[in-house]
Amino acid sequence: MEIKDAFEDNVVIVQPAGRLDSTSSPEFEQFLLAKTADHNLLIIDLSRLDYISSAGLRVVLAGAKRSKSANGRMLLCGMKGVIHQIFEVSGFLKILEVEKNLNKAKQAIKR
Amino acid sequence: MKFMIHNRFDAIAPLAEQVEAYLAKQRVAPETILTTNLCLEELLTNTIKYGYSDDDVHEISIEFNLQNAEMSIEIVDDADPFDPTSDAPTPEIETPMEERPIGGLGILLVTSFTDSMQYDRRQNHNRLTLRKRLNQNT
Repeated sequence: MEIKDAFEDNVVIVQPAGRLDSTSSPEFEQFLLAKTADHNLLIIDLSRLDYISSAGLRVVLAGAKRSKSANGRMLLCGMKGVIHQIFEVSGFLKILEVEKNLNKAKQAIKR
Repeated sequence: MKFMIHNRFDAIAPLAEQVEAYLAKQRVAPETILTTNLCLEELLTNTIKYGYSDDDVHEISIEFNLQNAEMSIEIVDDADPFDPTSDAPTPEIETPMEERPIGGLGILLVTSFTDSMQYDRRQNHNRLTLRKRLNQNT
């Protein structure tokens, strides 16, 4: 897995690429922990993700919970194909804030 | 086609690569290959994490059978008895986010991405058979 991040207009944008599995999830969790500690507006762009398992889903959910309890906001975007389906069957689409793509997420997080 | 791994977490990623190569050769759709590896990761991670009460090396076999547009996968291990078709807690997917416990999702993903799952305990081995019809998108 490779993680890129950017900071624009007070919003942190995190882009994990590749595989978010039980091996790489701890690294992603540490990364998110560090980002949510300093900033309260966060977008996770999943458009470059090839694979996610329950270990990765847990890290995303934990991030959303942390951000919510700190009065912040975390938005997900860019889910495609099977990745979208995995989020759907896990029930996460109902409980997380999800936008279609990064542009829409950038607009939504300002509202 | 039969794959053998030891009960080590770092065996799962190399297995996924071998499974991907094998299924691609059998012309299985990429989406199905992905969800198959997802199911294997969820089940094997559970077994390796919770299944063994000693520190010994144990073998787990994963055997694929593809015929008549159906894929079956039989996973056999000598871990403690565990029936994922009935022993796993049902995750609370309708619960609001703040109240949801973290975890318990793996088996839900496996049942969502397969057509059936059958468990059998024989001669001190867990034997789990997953079935999936092919020629569909996932």
